[in-house]
Amino acid sequence: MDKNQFFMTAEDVQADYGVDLITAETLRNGFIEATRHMHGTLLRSSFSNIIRDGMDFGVCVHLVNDDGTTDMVAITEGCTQFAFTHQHMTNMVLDEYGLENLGQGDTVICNDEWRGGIHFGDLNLFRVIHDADGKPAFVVSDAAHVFDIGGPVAGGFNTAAESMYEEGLRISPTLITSRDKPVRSMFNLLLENTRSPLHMLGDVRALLGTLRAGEDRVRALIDRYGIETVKGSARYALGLSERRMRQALLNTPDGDYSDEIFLDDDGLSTDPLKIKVEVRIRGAEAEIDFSGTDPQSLGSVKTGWQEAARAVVGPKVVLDPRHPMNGGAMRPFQVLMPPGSMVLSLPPASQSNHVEQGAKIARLMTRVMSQAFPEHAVADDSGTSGCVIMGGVDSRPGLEGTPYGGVLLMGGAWGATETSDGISFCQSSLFNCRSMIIEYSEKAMPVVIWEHGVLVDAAGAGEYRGGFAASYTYEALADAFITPIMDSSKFPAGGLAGGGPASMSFAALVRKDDRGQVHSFKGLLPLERMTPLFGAYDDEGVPDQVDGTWGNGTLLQTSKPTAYVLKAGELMRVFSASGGGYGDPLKRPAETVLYDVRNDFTTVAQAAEIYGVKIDPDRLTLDEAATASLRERLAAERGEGYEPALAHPREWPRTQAEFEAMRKRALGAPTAVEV
Amino acid sequence: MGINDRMIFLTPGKDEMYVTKTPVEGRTCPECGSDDIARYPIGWVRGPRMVVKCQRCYHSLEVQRPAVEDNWPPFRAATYDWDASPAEGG
Repeated sequence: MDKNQFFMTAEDVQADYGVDLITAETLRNGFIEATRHMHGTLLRSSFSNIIRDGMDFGVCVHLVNDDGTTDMVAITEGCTQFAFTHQHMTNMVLDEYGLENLGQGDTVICNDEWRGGIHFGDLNLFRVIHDADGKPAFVVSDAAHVFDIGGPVAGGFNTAAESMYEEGLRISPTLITSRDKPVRSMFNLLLENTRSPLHMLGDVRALLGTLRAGEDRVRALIDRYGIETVKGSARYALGLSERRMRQALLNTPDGDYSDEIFLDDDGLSTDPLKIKVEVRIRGAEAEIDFSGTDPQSLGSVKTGWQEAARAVVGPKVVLDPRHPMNGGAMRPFQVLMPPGSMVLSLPPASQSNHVEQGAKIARLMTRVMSQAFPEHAVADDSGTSGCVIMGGVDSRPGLEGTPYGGVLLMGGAWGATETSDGISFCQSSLFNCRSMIIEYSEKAMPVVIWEHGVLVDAAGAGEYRGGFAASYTYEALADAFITPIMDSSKFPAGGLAGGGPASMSFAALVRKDDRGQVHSFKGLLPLERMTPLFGAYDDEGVPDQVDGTWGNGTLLQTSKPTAYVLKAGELMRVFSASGGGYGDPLKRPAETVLYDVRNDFTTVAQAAEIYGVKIDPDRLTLDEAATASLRERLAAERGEGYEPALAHPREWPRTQAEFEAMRKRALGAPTAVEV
Repeated sequence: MGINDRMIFLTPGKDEMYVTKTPVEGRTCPECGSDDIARYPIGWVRGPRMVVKCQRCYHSLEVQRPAVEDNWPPFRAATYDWDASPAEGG
């Protein structure tokens, strides 16, 4: 194996791409800068909160090849999955519509999963940039999840949908501007079939303006450097990404790496759903085979073509995480998807809730690639988007009768690595969306968010612990249709190298206290104020993922209910799944465990039971002698193959009085500031 | 082929789903010399393709655009081969 087989010299760049290295690098970054302008334009001008706040979008520049295919040269920060799907979708849409049918100022719109899209809620737009001879040279594309796409459920996620006919508008490749004039019929189709024409018009105009901004930037590069230099540099940017990925594959031992993962259910039945993959790495290429995966489910948690592209997210995260993404990184991969399976469902299958499978695919592929490349291994992330879709009709003064909708994106957490704790409050690598700004959410929707925090003891234990997922408590100010999307309530994020599994998703309805307030402490609330909604509970209503039973005494039998009605004044608490730990918890520095205890991440009980660290519960100080003794005893008892117990809170206050006493006692101890 | 054939599908009933690989006769892998060659559908960087591939060393002999009879990808627009109208830039 040649560790530098794909290395390029400046002479290689000149010979292969016809551009000197400095210019090629300048223009590689110029393409990225063009997408950054697109990013800023869309962020500033879109209307839906999931776009301008959650960053659920993608903006790209593509090179048109001589054979009419395209390659995505650059994309910037946004929702990660678009950085993979738009490489495919641009090819599939333009292949069907015909590149030759698109002139200057024409824009095509499409939202179809079977043409490379993700789900109907995402609008994807494509605009061709022609050279001076009128020949297609580049394409700018963007995609964003809009407020609503019609159908029976606001917000575009209908987990219970049994067919695509229950998921809103399906838009095949269609002109939305012609010579820069809006195509009225297409606008009317969108505005008259969705719940908020105001948001739709604002978002579509923002998407169109974003393409214009992208075209302006690319044209500025062409004007300055000339078309051949710019195209050569685009080929260089793609070639560089390809070479880096091929080199990383070449440095990975040849072999067949496999694993499987389960979604909790499809929201209609309680049956788990298996996704299986085998990755065959040979030299500088890899075949990703989803054979052995379950057939497509009835509920909408499966996908149509997306996994052909999204399957590469895991390899990118593990093999070449730092280099900016473009289509070149996808060239070494071939993806096998059985038709009629979870990863390639067939029309008229429903797919609007694709997100949980997407998160699972990212986790599965990261896990498999971690086998192949253990020095870059990452323990399991949450495996859920951890989001809540809200929709309804507003009743706030001045907004009475106004349709509203939006997303509360909590996200989840990442797993730990051999060098660091997992990232808390973080979306899956598949999404990279932004956790919502509380004030924006409360302005966009009739909702009060009472709490946004972490649940103590929830992260998978380890020398490096997993990340902590977020929990939300929110109150509906008007009757709301709530669609929580929170898989990983039955199958936890696993640890690596002796690290432990993490707490899973669950939810409850919450009642305010006698003062009309909602207080939590370390993520805990008095159980007498919680009514189990979904997840694992014991017979007394205590959230218990170790000895409890899933669905025991809960109002719902799925973690992905569709359009649950939360009446005005009612509150819901959702806990997203956390990330797995890495390494032996007994090797975690005692001072670090103490820091976690003082910051309410870890209880004194977990510190002793799992980490073998003795901490004075009143003074929150470390007992070094007792810790050494305890760790020695635990190491002898555990032996080889020990796996920490599933992370979970050990004590829930039963009553308001118990809760107040717990908080009073803890607040009397030293605070994090004094660490 | 009927209008529905690549637009509307029955729900599959198998327990697990597999990609069908069709053996290719008369070809030898230039990398390892094996004659265990198969052709099957893949998702590739530029979309749906058919690959002709050695099943011993996984060397790709060819990556082809799918023929109509490959039915790949499963979905195809009914108008895929129609001429574009003037309103669509045709």
